[in-house]
Amino acid sequence: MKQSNQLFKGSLTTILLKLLSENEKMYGYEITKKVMELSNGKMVLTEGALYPSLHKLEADGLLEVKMENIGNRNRKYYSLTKLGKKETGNKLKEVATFIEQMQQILNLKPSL
Amino acid sequence: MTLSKEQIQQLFIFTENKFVRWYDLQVELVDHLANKIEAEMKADPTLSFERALRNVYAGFGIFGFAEIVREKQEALRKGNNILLWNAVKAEFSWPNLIRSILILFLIYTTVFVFGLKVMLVFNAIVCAFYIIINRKSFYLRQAFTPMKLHRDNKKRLLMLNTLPSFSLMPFFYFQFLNMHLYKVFDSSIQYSDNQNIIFTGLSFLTTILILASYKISYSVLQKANKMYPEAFA
Repeated sequence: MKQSNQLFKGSLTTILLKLLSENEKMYGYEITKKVMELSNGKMVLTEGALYPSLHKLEADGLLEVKMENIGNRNRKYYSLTKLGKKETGNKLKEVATFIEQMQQILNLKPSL
Repeated sequence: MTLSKEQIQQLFIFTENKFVRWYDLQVELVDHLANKIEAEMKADPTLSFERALRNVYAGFGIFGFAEIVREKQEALRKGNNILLWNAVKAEFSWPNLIRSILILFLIYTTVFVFGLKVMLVFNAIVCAFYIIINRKSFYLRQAFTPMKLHRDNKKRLLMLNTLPSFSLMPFFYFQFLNMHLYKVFDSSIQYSDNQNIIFTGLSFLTTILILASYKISYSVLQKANKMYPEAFA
């Protein structure tokens, strides 16, 4: 089953922060590939959603960027700032709590 | 399958034709397009570069790059406002606080001891300083002559274009003084303490804002220079 767009959009920031916390630095296309790979092709991260989110996180001071020459072109790499690392922890906690609450409300988890 | 330098150049022209005027955004989009085109051409070696580009661009949806450009502008403006606010706050925290107190003291003394005639000179110096430092950033903001720069094939940077501009501020600042200018040259007219306090406060806040905006313009410029040295060549 393909992932609903709205659910995905709401969690995009958390996904990006988490991916960057596991990888020292990443570039846009690499992130789309990684999301596809981790979700077994069920989540498609569009450019129209990815770049605005990355640029917002950069403007908020959670990400820093570095340019690297890769032969025929320049590539923009994103990595977490100190603030970004802190925010990743907060966001993950937030999501964990939210999932737990949703399970309780919607009765998704069979009660023991 | 790696794209040639000429094909990369074609991608830059493609983004420019699709209304991505800013080099800092073009670099990122060109890399993304190139990665996707390379992957498509690897999967199907019979696919031409032009065909692969059409396929990849279609993936950006009906608005193409427009939404990405708009959101990037918004994000940069927001980011620069945060930087400016932090820079203003920094003027009121240690050790800059000492400088701010000295500025306030200097303005207060000028207004209350030497009067507004001297204050007018002081303001003129601050404004001249502001115009001098801003001349460079006016040029770098590249806001006035985009078409000329476009023809000259200069690489324009959105990160510089979205810097907060206070170009009109010194004029408002003087306007306020102008309302009382006739009094400045008529020594028989005395200013009330309230008027003097307003002048002091206004001059102080303007000076702090000018300092803060200068600081962030300088730091963003340094960052741009480091990231895109080719745009300054």
